[in-house]
Amino acid sequence: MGIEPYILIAPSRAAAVRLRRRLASQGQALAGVYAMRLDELAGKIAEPALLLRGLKPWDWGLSVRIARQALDRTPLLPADSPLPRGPIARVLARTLSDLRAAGVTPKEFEACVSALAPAEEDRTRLTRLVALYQHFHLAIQDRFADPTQMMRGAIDGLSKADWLKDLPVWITDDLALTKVAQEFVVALAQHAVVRRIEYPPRAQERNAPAWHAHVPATRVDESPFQSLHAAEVPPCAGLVRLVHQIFEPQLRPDARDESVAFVSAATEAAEAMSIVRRLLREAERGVLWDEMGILLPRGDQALPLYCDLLARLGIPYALHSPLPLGRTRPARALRLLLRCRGLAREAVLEFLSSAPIPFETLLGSDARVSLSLWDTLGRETGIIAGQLHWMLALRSCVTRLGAEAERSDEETEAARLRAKSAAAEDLLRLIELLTPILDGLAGRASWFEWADRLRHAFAQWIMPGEDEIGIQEWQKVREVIADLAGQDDTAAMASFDEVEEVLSARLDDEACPRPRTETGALHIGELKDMRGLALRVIAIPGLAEGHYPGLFRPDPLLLDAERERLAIALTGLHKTRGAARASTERAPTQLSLFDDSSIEPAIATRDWLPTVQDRLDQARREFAQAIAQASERLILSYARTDARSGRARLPSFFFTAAAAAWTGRPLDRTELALLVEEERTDQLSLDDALDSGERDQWRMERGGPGAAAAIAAAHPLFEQGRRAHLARLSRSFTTHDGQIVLPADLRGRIDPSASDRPLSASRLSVYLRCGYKYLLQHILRLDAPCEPDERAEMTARERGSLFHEVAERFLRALRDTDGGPVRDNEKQRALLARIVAEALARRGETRWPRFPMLVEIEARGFLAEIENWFEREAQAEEPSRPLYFEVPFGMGDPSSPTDPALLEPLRVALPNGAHLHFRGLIDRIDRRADGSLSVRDYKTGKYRAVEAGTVHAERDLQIPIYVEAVRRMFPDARVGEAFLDYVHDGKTVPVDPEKVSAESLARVLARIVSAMAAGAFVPEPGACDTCEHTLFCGSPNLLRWRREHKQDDPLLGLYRAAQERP
Amino acid sequence: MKAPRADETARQEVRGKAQRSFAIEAGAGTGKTTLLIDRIEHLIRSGHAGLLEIAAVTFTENAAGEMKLRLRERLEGVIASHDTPKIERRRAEQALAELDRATVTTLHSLCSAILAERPFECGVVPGFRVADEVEADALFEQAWQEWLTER
Repeated sequence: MGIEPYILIAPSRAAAVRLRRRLASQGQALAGVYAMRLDELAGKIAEPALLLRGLKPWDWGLSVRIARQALDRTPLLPADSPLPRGPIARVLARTLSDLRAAGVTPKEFEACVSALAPAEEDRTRLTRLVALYQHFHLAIQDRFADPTQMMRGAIDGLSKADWLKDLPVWITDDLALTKVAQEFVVALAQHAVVRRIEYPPRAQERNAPAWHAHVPATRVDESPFQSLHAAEVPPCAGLVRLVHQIFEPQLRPDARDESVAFVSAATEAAEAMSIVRRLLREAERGVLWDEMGILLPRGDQALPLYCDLLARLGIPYALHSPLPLGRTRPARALRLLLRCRGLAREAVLEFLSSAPIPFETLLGSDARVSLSLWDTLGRETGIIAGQLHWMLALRSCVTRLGAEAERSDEETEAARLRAKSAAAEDLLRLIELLTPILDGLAGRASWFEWADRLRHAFAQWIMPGEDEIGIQEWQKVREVIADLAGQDDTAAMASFDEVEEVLSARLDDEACPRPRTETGALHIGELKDMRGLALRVIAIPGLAEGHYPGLFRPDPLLLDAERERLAIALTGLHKTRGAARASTERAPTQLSLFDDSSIEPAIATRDWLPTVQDRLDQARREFAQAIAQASERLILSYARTDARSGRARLPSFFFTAAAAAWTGRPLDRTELALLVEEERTDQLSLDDALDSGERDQWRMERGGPGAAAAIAAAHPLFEQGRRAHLARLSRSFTTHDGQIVLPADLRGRIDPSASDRPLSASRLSVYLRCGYKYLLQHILRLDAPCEPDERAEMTARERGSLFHEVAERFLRALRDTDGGPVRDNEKQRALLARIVAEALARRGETRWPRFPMLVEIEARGFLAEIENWFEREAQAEEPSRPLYFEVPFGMGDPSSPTDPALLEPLRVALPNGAHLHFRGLIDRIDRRADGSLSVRDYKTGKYRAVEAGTVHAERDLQIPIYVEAVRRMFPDARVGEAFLDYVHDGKTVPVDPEKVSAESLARVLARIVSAMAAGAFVPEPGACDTCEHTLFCGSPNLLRWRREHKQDDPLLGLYRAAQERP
Repeated sequence: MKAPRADETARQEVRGKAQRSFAIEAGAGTGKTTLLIDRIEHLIRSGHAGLLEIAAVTFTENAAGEMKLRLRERLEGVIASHDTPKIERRRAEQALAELDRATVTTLHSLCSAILAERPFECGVVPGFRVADEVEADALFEQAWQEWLTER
């Protein structure tokens, strides 16, 4: 007997492929079986005729582009509307596509407008919509083979498709068809031998779609699929009940069994783990991978997560939905390259460090790729964006590093500087190469030109992967770029923004190449791509509110009520919903949602314009069909938290509807929570662990310290972390908290009295504020991580340095001209204004905010501050004559030979016989009316009240050290006054010079040095608010807890003593 | 036998007087939500309003979810009851079919739904979504930079 060929129409390609495999496994011949979806058959029939008419292929991006062009010609909004056109074009494209799919002509639409909306405002909107639709319709009709034209082309082409005459077509009865597709099936049945495979038990379960009546049915046990049907296991009673009752009123007795599980998990990742664990248990009880599936309602987000997990666990899977091309490495690299326009530092460095760039080709084979060094250089040089910024910053960096390398006496240091300079040069070359490429991606050009420029940029900057899939992915992205040239069908010229929009849409729409589907593998894919694929075990995750079903919003351009009125006006028919007719027509066990027989195919020459309710009903049908695909076990789940926003999620109403159908009554939150299972890791067995991380966690939770030690023996990093954790939890202040233990020969690193290197008073004040910061900043020399950022204001340091500069220049000029104190007169005010203006202008050339308005605000603020200071100086009760400014001690020569200076550091003897050496810069020394000297230190920060019992570093260390230094410089003069001058707040903190002595200073210093020498570098959580090093230290709350917990440790006692005034 | 509540007359008025507006002030656990469900049921059964013409606004998403569940339970009870007149059963069935898109929601979601239906009139982009805190900060930063650049 020869082979009888036939076509088999299945709801999805996945179902078609599996049917073929199952037929083969039953020993049936496959040579003549052509399994496909209905739209694929329509394409095969319509294609020759459509191509003959010169119609071009269609994609969704085209409709958006055409809608956008229509918007340019016929404005929908007033010209001054600030709303961006892109999102409006997307909404418009959907509206106009719905009109086309429903078979509405622009003329028909125009004729109905006055009847659609009673309000003038709405009529105006609809009139504009008619004009937009005319443009849209004309641009597509007879030019592109859009889905509507394809299906209608197939209907028209049936008479010429002679090859169908001797080829029976078998159709499974669970197809979900649009009206135009139903029309095609009915027409097909008139031209070919079409048979619907009828499954007797199922036919009674729900109302039949209208097309069933027009296609002769053959019982499945009389079809070529009888052997498959005979082999099918009938679904569990519980599942049958769920399928029948979903979305129905629920007031029935509880009749649950083990066939459905309602599951939740904390996050999507935990949900995926939980589902895979359940599938592994199913596999353990003998269900084959090929008999299980994961149906993802919205695959774009979850598919990669599941694929990664399955691949990691070595579970074979058959992927039925494509991952978008946009997720591949070359596509992501292309997007990163396009993000570099404007040369923002973060974008450029992300591109350089993430994209597969052919550095050897670009820089030459001897170039070193120093990604981390480039990143450091970018930050250090303070680059924000723009070609000029990059060029200037990197060129000056190369010059500076080269000069430093020349000056350096130490060969290792010189080599380091030279390497850094070379890296800066390489980075500069890359920027020089990148700039013309990016410059070319702006303005307007023809689509051909854009495709050419992008192809060049892509080929020059992005390498293909090394394996076969990597190469295919790269080629596919290149093809997508090349395809852009074909867009000139819609417009001759385009801006790059338009090009980027189309390119982005294409990358998301195109499927990425994938490895050959494995046989005997777990099925995974989007719900729509696995329709009709009957399996023993099915999991449907992602049933969270707003996720699945998604939010259905009304179309703002053609409102639901207008859509219904338009349909009525065109067909003369009123749409009646199943639910409304249900009580009279529906049999008790029938699903109202599947009842659409009110629309007969014979009169359905146009589709209904879908409303929100239609889309919702459609989603319900899809969900009900999906749960009906399981015959033995169904797992429904949702994640309780949105990982992106951290917000709690509720189960979707599909989930609650399924729970209600399962239990026979609606459930409130508490009952639902009792029904839903959630994995508790502490209740899982070791065999349930999916990976080594879970296994170790299990052992840790049950095995206690012994297990931790056993795990640590094999994992050095874990051991390091465990030690730190235990040390920080202990009551001792340890090396993991800030204790430093050094051998005697290195003690000079932490004990300033063991070294001759001079200290500054401000350095000791850092220690008093936070010992740990001192350790990071002055011993380990770790810079705080900084991110060059757009500047909105001066930093505190810049403000301070500007004040010091202006005050010094002003007072020096005053001293050198009339020598008198500050007086509030025109002359001195003019002098001050000139100096301020000059200083501000110099700053403006370099490191100021780049926005003129902010510069102006900052300058105004600074001027006000300096004027306040000037007025306070002029109004002083006992005016003194400014003598010296920025007077150095222990810092070498003074800036001016005429100014005094103490060349040697100030040496202070400690009670234990050791010495400390100090250096510093005294802001100002004045001569008072009684001839004594006045020593002051400007403070440009905020004034804070001095606490009585603790050491105030500036008052108790800095000023006494300055007073001692002045006494050494001017042995014949008396220091009559010393104080801290808070210039912003106009407050002073005086110190009585009579009470300052080397002995009193030594007592304070001795305690500090003693704590340092003992290695007590204690974190002070109270200082975290103003500290830039907090990234190294952890949460202030945790630091506070540890501080309390370890308060009895002697090292903490030493540190506390150093902070107390003797 | 349960004694009638002292405010039963007031409750009856709230349930049955569809043409009147009420402000109900009562402590937690006294049955405010139940009374609202009663009133919605009355509005639907009597034909004064379809479910899609009613807005029930709650303070939290949890409360909205709970209210929807209770409303579903009530409507299903009406449909199942043999005492329900035919016309009222049909109205309840219609309401049940529309329940999933009924405005039983938080104030934020209600506002969002109004904006979604009339975005152009309200001056927002169609297809907008409510930004979370991180997105809002990023958008603010972007708008701030653009504003500064223009000055």
